[in-house]
Formats: sequence, structure tokens, C-alpha cells
Amino acid sequence: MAIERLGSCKRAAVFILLVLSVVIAVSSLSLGQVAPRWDFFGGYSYLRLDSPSFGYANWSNLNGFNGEIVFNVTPRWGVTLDGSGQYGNQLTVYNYMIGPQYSLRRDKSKFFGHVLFGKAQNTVNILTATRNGFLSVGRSVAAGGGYDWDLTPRFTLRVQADYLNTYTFGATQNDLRISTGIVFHHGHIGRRPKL
Amino acid sequence: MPRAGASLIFVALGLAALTGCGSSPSSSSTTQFPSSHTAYVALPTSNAVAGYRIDNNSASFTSILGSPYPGGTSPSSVLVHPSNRFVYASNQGGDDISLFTIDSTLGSLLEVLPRTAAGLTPASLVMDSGGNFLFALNQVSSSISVYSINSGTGALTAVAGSPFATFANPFAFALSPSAKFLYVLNGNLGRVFAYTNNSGVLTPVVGLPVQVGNGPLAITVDPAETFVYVANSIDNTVSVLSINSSTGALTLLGSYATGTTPTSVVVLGQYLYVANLGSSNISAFSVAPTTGVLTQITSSPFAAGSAPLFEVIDPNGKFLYVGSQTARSVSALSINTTTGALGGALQTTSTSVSPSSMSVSK
Repeated sequence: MAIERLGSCKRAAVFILLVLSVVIAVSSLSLGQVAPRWDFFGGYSYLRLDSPSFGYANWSNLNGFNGEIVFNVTPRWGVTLDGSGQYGNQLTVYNYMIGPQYSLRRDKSKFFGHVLFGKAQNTVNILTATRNGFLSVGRSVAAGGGYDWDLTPRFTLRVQADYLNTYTFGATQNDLRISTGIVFHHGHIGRRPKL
Repeated sequence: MPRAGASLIFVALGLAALTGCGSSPSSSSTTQFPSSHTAYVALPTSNAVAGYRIDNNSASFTSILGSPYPGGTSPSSVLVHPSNRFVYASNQGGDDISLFTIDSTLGSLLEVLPRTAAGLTPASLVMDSGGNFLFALNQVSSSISVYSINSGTGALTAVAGSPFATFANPFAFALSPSAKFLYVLNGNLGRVFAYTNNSGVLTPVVGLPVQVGNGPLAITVDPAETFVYVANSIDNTVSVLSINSSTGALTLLGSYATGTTPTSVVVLGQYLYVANLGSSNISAFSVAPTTGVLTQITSSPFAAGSAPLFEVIDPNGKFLYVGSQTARSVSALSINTTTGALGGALQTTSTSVSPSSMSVSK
């Protein structure tokens, strides 16, 4: 009952805390691995935006950036803070999300998957008699993953794809986001193997 | 490691292929076979024009961002220019005409001020197929204003001699597809008056106006420019008139029973559809191409929701759009292109207030 009375944001927070609790509990199973404590990702991002949902004839192809900060609680589980922005002729899209990430490390590569929750901010820059543009902020949910390939111990090349489900301008959008860039690692968790 | 590197390359190539596919919105305006059309609906009580995108396959309506778009006072009739760049709305309350530019990618409207003056109570608009001239029917001042259209800006300029006087209280009018003839209805007299059109200059056709039924409310000309059809709201009939192709003169061929209070008539090829406001249905007829004889299609009349007021044929001929004043909505009915029969309402969108007119982009 207490949870039912919480707002959607609070419910999301409770969910994330539950996930984190599971992550920490599972961490004891991952002591044999080594992983960075922090991953900082930045790079190019493409968004195929479901713009017909608010009146466009075609889907929109937008280009921009994607940045992520991942705090690895265990070698396998982490928390991802994600921000991206894509731009087009009339359209600007931002997404700010957070959520759990699971990583499967293999030597110098890594596969990962994540589920993210947050907000989407869509802007359409068109002129009407009463307005210079339209802005809408709504919920955003993403599910996706990617592949990391270590270039050096500190730097990794990443490709990532996400399905985004957002609700702006009174309609639901089903978008595809693809990002690629460099990941910088900082710190470490787990035991380093004895040489 | 080579395996990991190869995987990465394949993934990158796949992503590149994905990002390369599809089209940007900016290319939509040049698409030869668009997957959708834009439609604009006059909303008199909102002093606005609503914009929708209609899917060509499902007929689903999506409100265009920013719709409805503010315009003049009490817009009653709306028309999309053949270039799909401009929309015109006749403002009954403001005695003027609004010009809107259409955003080429989104389809949103922006009114260009100042508005163009018309006569008193411009109730209806028609345009030639080339988009060179716009005609406005002024009900109270009993005249027709004719404007030439600037193809670049959409601006209207009254032609010499405009407005052209008509008999008292013209109610509706229709331009022949070749734009050679203009036919004007008088509801009080129950007659159709004919004019020749020469670059926007109207000249009455010699001879008496043709008597049709009582309370004629709507008129249209078939694409072959062979027949004129008139919906008679008091008689509950539709009249068929033949056109003299050289003079434009009309001859009444006959009248056929419809539902109650017909208010709209449209033609699609060999089929004729009459919206019956009182009986809330559509009477559908097949037309004999040489004689103009109407034969009611099997299962006609077809249900059309509450109190249909106007009809618009889909540019692809797949749907009949019907506006309802009481339901405050526009519905899309499927057309069986083989038989002409109508299906049920595939899609319906609320317009919040009563719509009075609709125009769909080509």
C-alpha cells in the first residue's frame, strides 16, 4: 500500500534500489574478476525518431551525441547514468536516464545490456501564429546493449544500440538509438590476478 | 582477439547500414508516392484550421503538432493549393480570406497576414486544378470574388472586374474541372446559374437558369465534365444535369431519391455519394456514363455516423471522409473500388468543435 501511494519517480527509485540490493548481493559471486570502478563513455549517436507520432510524414534521422557514466558495483553489475542529444532540421531530442547495467567480460572485450528510465525532452522548431516552437517533456524508457573492445587498458571502443520508448506531445514514440565512441576506465574493483 | 576485432567490424558495418537507411523528413515533400496525406479542417467556432496527417493505408488520423492553427473569424471553407504549399480559408465572420503557408516537412500552418478582403460572408471557396485562380462565394453581398494566385507566395490579387455580381443569396458553387464553367446554386429559387470563366472573368451563360429541386444545398461537376449533380435538401433528391460542352448550358436530366436532407454530393469516377444529414447515412449511386442515369448501389444507403455534413474523396480514391457537425468529428469510410460500396467507418477523429469543411493535399 505504501508503495502504491508513491509517485512514478519514487516507484522508479524504489525499483532501482531493489536492483542495486540484488547487485550487491550477487557481488560476492564475482570476486574473481577485475573490472573498472568507473566507465566514462562519450561519442556519436544516431536516433531514428518516431516523428510520425506527432504529425510528420516520415521517420526522422537525427545525429548527435551520447554520454554515459557507469559505476560498476561489481564486475558484472553497475549503474548507468545516460544522457544523449540528437539534432535535425526542425527537431531536437534529449534523453536523460538511469538504470542497471549487466556486463559480460571476455578477456579484452565486453558485452553489456541495460534498462534505463528517465525523461525525454523533444523540441520541434516550427513557427506558428502563436508560437516559435514546441517543447514537450515526458517519460523515457530504454532497453539495449552493446559491445566494448579494449584498445588499451584505459580506453575501449564501444558500439551500442537502444530501443527507446518515450511519451511526448501526447503520443508514444518508439525510437532506435545507435551510439559509438570511446570508453575511458577509471579505478578498479575485484582482485587483480597475481603475476 | 582477431575474432573480437572482426565482430566489432561487423557490428559497426551493421550499424552503419542501419543509420544509412530510411529517409529524413526533409525528403518527404519530394516523395513521389507519399505514404500519407495532410488534411485541413475548418473549425468556425474555434476561429482555426485543424491539421491532420492521414495514413494512406489505414486512414488513421494523426493531429499535426500545433493544431489547430489560429486563423480568421469563423472560417467556413478551406482549400489546399495543388502545390501543397498553401491553404486558403474563407472567413465568414471576417469577410476575408486567410492564406496559410504549409511547413513542407511537418504540414503545420502559419497564417500570412494581412488577410485578403472578400465580399460579405464568403461561405465557400473553389479553385481551378492548376491553382491559378481562387473563387469565393459571397452569400450576403451576392457576388463572387475572383483572385489570381501568386504561385511563389500564394498571395491573392483580385482580378479585374471582381467581385462579379450574382442573383440574391447564392448558396453554393462548383467549378468544372477544365475551369471553363462555374455553376452557382440559389437555394431560395431552386435554380442553377451558369457562368463561363475566362482567366477569372465570369460571364453569365445566355439563357434561363435551370430549375432543380427545392432547397438545393450542394453542387458538384463530374471529372469528365459531362454532368452536374445537385443535392436538394427539401425534396430529398439529387438532380442530374447535362453540360453543353461548348456553351456550358445545363439541361435537367432527372432527379433521384436520396435519404433525408441531403447536404453534400461528391463524385468518384462512375460513383456518386450523397451525404444525408437527416438520416445520417450516405446514398451511393452508380452513374451511366452516357445518359447520366443513377442506379442506387446494393446496400445503399450506408451508415455514416451522426448527421454527416460534408464529404471529401481521398486523393487515392480509397476513402470517403465525412464530417459530422453533431458528433464533432471526421470519419474515414472505405470505398470498394469495384462496386462503389462503402464500408464502415475505419477511423474517426474528434475535431472538438463542429467542422464545416475539409481539404486534403494531393
